[in-house]
Amino acid sequence: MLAYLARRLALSGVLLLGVVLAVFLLHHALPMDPAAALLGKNYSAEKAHELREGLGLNDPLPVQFLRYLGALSRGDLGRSHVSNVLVTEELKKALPATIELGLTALLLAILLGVGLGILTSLRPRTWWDVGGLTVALVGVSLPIFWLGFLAVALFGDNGALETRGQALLASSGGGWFPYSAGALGGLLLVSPLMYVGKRFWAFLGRPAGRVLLGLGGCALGLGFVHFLFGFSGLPLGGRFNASVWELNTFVAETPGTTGFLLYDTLVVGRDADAFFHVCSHLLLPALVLSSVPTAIIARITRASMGEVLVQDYIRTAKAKGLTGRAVVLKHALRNAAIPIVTTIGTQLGYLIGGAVLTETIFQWPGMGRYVVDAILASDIKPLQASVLIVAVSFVVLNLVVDLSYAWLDPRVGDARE
Amino acid sequence: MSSPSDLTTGRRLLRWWLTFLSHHRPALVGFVLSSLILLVAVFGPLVLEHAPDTVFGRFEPQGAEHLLGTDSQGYDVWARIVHGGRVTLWIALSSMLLSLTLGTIAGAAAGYLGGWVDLLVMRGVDFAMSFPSFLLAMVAIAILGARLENLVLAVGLVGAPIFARQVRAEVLRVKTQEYVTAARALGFGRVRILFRHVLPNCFAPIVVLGTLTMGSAILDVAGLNFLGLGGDPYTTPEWGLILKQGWEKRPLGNLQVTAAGLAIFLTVLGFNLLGDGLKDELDPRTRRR
Amino acid sequence: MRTRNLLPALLLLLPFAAGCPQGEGGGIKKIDQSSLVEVITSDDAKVLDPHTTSDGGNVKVIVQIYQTLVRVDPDDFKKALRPELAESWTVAPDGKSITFQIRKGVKFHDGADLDAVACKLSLDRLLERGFKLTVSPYGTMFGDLDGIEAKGHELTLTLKNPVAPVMLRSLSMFSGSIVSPKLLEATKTMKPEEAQVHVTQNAAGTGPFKLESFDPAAKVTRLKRFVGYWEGSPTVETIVFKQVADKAARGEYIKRAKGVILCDDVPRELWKELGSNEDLVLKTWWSPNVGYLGVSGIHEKTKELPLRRAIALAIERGPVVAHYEDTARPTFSLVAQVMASYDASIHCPDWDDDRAKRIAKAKELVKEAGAEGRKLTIYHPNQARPYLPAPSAIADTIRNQLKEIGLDVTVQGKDKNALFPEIETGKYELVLIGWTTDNGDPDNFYSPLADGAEGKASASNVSRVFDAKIHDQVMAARAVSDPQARIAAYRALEKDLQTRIAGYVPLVNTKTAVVYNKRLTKVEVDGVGHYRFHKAILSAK
Repeated sequence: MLAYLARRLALSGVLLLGVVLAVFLLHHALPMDPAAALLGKNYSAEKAHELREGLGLNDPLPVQFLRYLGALSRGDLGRSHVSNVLVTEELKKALPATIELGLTALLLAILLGVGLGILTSLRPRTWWDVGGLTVALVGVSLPIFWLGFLAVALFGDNGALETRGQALLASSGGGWFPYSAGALGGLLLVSPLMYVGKRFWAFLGRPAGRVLLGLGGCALGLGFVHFLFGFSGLPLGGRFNASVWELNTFVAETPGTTGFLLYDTLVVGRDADAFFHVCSHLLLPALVLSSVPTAIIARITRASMGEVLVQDYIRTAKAKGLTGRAVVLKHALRNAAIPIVTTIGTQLGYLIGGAVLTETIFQWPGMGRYVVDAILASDIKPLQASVLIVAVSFVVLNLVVDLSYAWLDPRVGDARE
Repeated sequence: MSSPSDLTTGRRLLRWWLTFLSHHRPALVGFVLSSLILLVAVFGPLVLEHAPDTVFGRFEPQGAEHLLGTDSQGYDVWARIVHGGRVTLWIALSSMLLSLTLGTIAGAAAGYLGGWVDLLVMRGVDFAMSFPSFLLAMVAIAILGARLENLVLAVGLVGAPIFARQVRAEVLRVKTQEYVTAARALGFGRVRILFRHVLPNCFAPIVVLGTLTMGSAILDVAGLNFLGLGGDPYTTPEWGLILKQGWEKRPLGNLQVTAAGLAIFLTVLGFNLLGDGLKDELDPRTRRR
Repeated sequence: MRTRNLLPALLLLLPFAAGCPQGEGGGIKKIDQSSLVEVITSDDAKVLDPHTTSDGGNVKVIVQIYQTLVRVDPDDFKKALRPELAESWTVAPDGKSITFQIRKGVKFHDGADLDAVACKLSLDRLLERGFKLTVSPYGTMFGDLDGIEAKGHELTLTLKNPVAPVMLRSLSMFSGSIVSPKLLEATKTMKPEEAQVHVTQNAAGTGPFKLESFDPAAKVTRLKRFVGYWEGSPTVETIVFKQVADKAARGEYIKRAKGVILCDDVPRELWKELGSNEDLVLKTWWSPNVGYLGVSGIHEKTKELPLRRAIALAIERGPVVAHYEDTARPTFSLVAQVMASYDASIHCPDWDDDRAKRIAKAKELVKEAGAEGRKLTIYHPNQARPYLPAPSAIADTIRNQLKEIGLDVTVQGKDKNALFPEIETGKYELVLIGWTTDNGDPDNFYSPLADGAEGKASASNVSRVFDAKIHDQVMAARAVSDPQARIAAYRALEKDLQTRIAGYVPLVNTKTAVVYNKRLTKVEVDGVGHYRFHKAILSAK
């Protein structure tokens, strides 16, 4: 185990060094001339040469690399040539935005994916199974920018919902009728769950569970009706509405803030209004971003649970008289966890890549948008810095996933060649 | 059920294929879907009424004359979607083949030769995989320049390490099989053994990965184009570009976005269904029964 | 067991519990919506340093914070200049010196007082005397400035040439903004790029609004009224500049805005609809701009004069104008139609022929240049500009037209931040671009765009050819004061430009629009497209 740990750490170290070297070389590989950007209309071959001399770009590569390492060790990532702002300053804002979006999406993906996976694995070869598999397949095949377009068109604050709501309200006669119908409909919708879900949610069979589920169904129906009639839609982009909340000032000036707006509004600012405002901006992009990881996690969970559920110890557990839920959660899920955890780890990398497109559609001021803008504007230092940050965090994440894998399954460390 | 590697004649391969499709319904759906789209992409442009760069009135409504209307340039959207299929599939296919070729060569060399070659290739693969693939493709485009033809290179290069890893694992497995040992005992050359005995037996997983890669390549290419890191929006019709144009012309371009997005989605779904089916069938680890 | 089932539900309620009123202190402030104007733009602000920028997105904010010595008449920029920070000025009879009486009792946002020394410091920085700038996009327009003398509230400028009227026009531009001396003194020891960031983040001018929060990452800038403003405190309390880059999203935003907004880049296809909206005011006017196709004279692929002339002949302006939704007109010279010196006769006579004839002639010229089937690329900025609402679509239309004379053209979009500095290096053969004047004089087009003289050509001068005769003509035309003589001068210049250099093809002159809520009155919109809120009044619903 220790040998494995050492080997894995050494490998990550080598990788990190390689990443830094590659990012350094990127500066020379890119067809962007820093001299052209700096000189502009005063550009001439001699002046460019002079400037390159001044910037040290004519020195031998190893010398430049050492200088780059030196700058990195001081935390100096250079300046953007568009705004001349320090890249570290810009990253301080972009990183939390992406991490917040990515983690929320991952959380949604785990909840939805594992739930869907368990549900389908419990009823193989039924409509549940087919439905779950279809959702998973569609999830990985959807172009994420198209999904974003659909989400914005259907749920965005673009007038469509209000028009439809008013038309519906007029045709239904208004008054209490739509709301009572909504509550009844919600109740009817969840009632099959009380019987279908017996094995998974055993407590739903009990009176308390039924009441809870019934209330939930009513609330769901009412919420849906409210959504149909009164909901003008979710915000179309950004992390918050800067014309309403002075959140950027708050984050800049309040000690203890992190740039993670959910945390800052809830814990530091202790302001529920602001918190829900931030949530409403986060919901749509996070859902869109979670589509692929949800699908993949659901498939892995289904496969892994499928293998575990037919094992003898599950039968033994049932024979001992344990309820369905206990068996599923305590015995089966725990033993099926390894591939699920690995998949979740690999999906983190996907989230970084997928975030680029999601952030573009929802005007999210995060790393993805930052990288695209840097490439489009031929802004070398921000591009270098963001590639470095993403790659380093990716290497570290992979290390953590591998180590946790070894921890969950001690055989891994020993079994490797 | 036997794997196709045991079969040598085309007839037996066809029979195997038909049996596979007849008992694996999702794969059948995927096969029908992707062949339909392939047919439309290959032969559609021949029977289309309009060329993709004939200029009509701007934003003409959909109807008998223009199935999906015209766009801001006066181009027929349906004609562009059909031609775009050709372009999109061609780019995806070329980049997939590039990944496949590079990955197979590297993986086979690593697995078969072992030693320092193996070490070098696998560290290279580890290194390439320490960047999220989409980001890596974006950086490749930044280096090569935002042009349609460079998308093939960028997406193709980024996809290669996965092939290399898979092929290496297969070669390592096949290398220890009896028939390879037998060939070696007969004194066959290393190259001949690799090409005649080892690689043909790694065929199945490469086909599976290739099919699945088609899907992801289409998505990556369309995504890069959508970000403006591909070709010019009008010169060549490509699904990601058509979608981007429509997106910028909302709400007039809504139909265009829907159509292009649907085309991408259905194609990727087709390849994914087929790829998953093949994987179920050919991969010894996930094979049913 | 049962309590454990309720745990998740309790967890969900946690935010409500956390949100119980906390009293004063840590709460997050909300902006008072009753005195707020949201400015919706397509460009975002990145730099708020007037001396080192030319980007439209920055200028919109800069003109709220900073002021200049003189300014153009807000009703009609062709009229005489108006006093601003200078109460009055006199021009010496020889036209080689200007004396300003600087306004008294004006304070900067950071508390500094305005006097002639403060003005001199800003002009010194603009000319990089004792300061170093990262870039100085308009520095050359002030190249004629020689001595600057400050005494109390009297500022005297001496000029190298007798160009006082043009210099006054240049001083009315945002580049001539007067920045707080306190702020500038602090930047003297900094590196140029640090100085630019310092000025941006601590922006302090004499304008009616001061910088409150600058967040380029979120593309939002918030300004607050400056109570000590010399014309009296504005009544509008907060202005939020917000970028909505996506055109369709911007259209939605305008239509569905709940508060008071002003949008300066209104999607052209919505002008009719918004003009008839009873809650909104739509102001449109012909802007002093020209969109054109620049053709490089120094690039390998377009170095033959006949080829450049052929390109100019082949282009048909009608289909180009179609992309502007009836808000633009074809144009044939760099004198925009709204300028005092405009006359329809100012254009190259070759363009009077009908299309078939022009195409035939163009084909001949292409043959003469030996350029049949040559592969060319039209570059264009990815971002829409006021004179280019749909760059890639317009480039595609031109591509189709150049196909007709046997040229193999492709189109390539580039980010404006990458494209503009690179045009100056002569890297691109064809560039679709344009120009808007900030001072309303045709020389503001010809000097930077047509004259390739060393150190004068601007970023948008694609041709980069220096021709001694053209240079003399440009210099002569700017000094002419008689309107008819000036028209004649530009007519001759335009003809020579197209036959000797053919470095650009003028395409369109466009209308500009600003839309805002009816609740907002007395907002000042001038002819070059700047809007100011110092007198604006917000009435209740």
